[in-house]
Amino acid sequence: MSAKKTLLSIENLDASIGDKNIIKNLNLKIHYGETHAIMGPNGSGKSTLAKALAGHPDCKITKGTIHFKNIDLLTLPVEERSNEGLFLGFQYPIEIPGLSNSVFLKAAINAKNKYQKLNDVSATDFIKELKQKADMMGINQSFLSRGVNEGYSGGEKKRNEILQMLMLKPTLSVLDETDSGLDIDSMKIVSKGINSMLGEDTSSIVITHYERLLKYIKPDVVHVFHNGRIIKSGDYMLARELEEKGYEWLTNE
Amino acid sequence: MANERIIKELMNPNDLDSFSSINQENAWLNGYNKESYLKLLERPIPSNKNEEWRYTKISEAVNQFFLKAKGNKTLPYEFNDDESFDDDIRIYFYNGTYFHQGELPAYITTLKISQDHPYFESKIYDGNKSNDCLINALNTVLLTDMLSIETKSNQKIDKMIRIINLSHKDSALCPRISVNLAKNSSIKIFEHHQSSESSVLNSNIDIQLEENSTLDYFRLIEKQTQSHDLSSQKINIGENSRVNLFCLDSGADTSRSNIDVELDGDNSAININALFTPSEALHSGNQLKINHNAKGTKSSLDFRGILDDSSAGVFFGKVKVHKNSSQTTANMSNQNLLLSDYAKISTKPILEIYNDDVECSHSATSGNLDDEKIFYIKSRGIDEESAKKFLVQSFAAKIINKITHANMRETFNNHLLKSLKIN
Repeated sequence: MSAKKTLLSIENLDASIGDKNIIKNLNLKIHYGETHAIMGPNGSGKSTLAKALAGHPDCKITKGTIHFKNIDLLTLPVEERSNEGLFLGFQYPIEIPGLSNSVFLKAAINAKNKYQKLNDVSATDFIKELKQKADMMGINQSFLSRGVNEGYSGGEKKRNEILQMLMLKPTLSVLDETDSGLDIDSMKIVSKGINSMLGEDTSSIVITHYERLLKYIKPDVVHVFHNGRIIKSGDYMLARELEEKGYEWLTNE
Repeated sequence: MANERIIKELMNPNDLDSFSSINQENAWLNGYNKESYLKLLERPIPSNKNEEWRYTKISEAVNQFFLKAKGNKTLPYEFNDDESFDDDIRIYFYNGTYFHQGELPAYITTLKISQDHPYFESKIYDGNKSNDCLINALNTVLLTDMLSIETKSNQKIDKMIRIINLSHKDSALCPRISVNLAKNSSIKIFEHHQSSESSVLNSNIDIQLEENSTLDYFRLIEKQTQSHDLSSQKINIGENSRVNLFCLDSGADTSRSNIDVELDGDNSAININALFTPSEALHSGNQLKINHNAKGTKSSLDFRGILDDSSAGVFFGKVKVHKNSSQTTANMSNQNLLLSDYAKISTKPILEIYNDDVECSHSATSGNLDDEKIFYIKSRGIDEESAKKFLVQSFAAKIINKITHANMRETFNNHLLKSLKIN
């Protein structure tokens, strides 16, 4: 097997929200084809990392670099990060009443196509693919003409995030607590969606509190976040150990 | 008073003769014009200390009204062929006259001063008696023709009645409409103020519904340039009857709409859904007075303002539930989106309740576009400008989507997008 290609490289990163420095000297490298899980107690900086990657305006990078596909990610505006193939699955997906799911998704796909100098997606191809993937995510057809996340339950919102991911076909998916608030059936559906995206050319970062989702996804690497940096990395067995013992044995060290 | 002086300086009584000379054969109407004018002289034009007119520069509009009235000239109108593709009935108001192509159905009459005066007189009398506002008084000064729409009992009319006000440059126009719905009847009216330049439009509509009737009423006011748009809508609703009113107002130098609703019959209802979208330095003023005078009456007011540049919007809504109006439902909401740091909104929803057995609510919110929503949309690859457009559209969609009439929904949506400069 040839040497693995790097997709994402974070070096010596400091990031703050407001006046508070949250991420402290973080280093992380993700290769094509890998799934990394990030676990850790509340307030350890997991969501801030997701915000830093996506370019949330509240999150200020004070030190370090992020390279994505060898591009300096920090120089790209939010929408171009997406068009380059980075997807953020929101912990709390936003409701936009009055903007229909299908109109929104089509605009997103066409924005990406335009960025990559491709033609607009054809209306029939788009609808066909959308219906097929909505089926896979257990999303009723009638939802597609409704407002984005408008009146959805917690589980429906998370499945809708995965539907958007499947339609946009990102190279790197950053899923911020996609499993929180899911019942067992939704958890299976969401894992199925995530697994269908995995391949040699795609990678994902799965941020989670629980081992449950990882049982279905089987990450290549598990990292433990504490105080804004990685304090331990391991394989899937580390997640099981955390499930049994909690975080204290690591954070007290 | 200063404002009286404005009127007096612009129009001495000799001038009045000159503009009323167009109606020479109709002395009785001249009488009304004159009477209304003389009444105006006695009545102070409300200053900005008057609560109801605080944010509306009415003296400037009145000033312009008389200036334009003096300069009114007759211009021929040429029909545009692509104006009548659909099945709608079209009536135009131009140069103080209602006209149309082809024949009108029996329930619509354009009352011509020379032919119909006893009837016309009774309508003006009824209208003025029940409506003593400044806008009505101004309208009567220039009044010449009236459009009358009267249904028979059990008459259901599906065709849309389009009334198109065409203002030409430097004109003052005073359309007047009277609508009477007999028992068990229904109609649809679409009143369209086309965009104009340097004009004053003062429109008056007087609506009465007997029992079990329904009126769907659409009002579209396109963006007016260096113009003033004043209007008065007086609506009386009888037992089990309902009026659904949709408005889109894109603003004028002064745009002022007074809606007065009397819910007179038991279980009568009014729904008003409105968007006002002024931009540049334009203004849009909405005043509503709803009186619940009977049992089981319902009112629902949903007004959304989208204000850009240095525009200003006003919402003044007063819902009064009278003592004997039990089981009343009244909901009033005004939400505003400010797209610029220089845009202004004044909102005042008022409930006055004299009965315990009621369900009432009122709310008002004003804010900018939500940064978290903008970020969410951008995170899917859509640029900031498009994200903002999506959000503005989604804010307005809550009103647009309530229009069940498909053609009207499309018409209103197209005008909305034009007004918001979204293609």
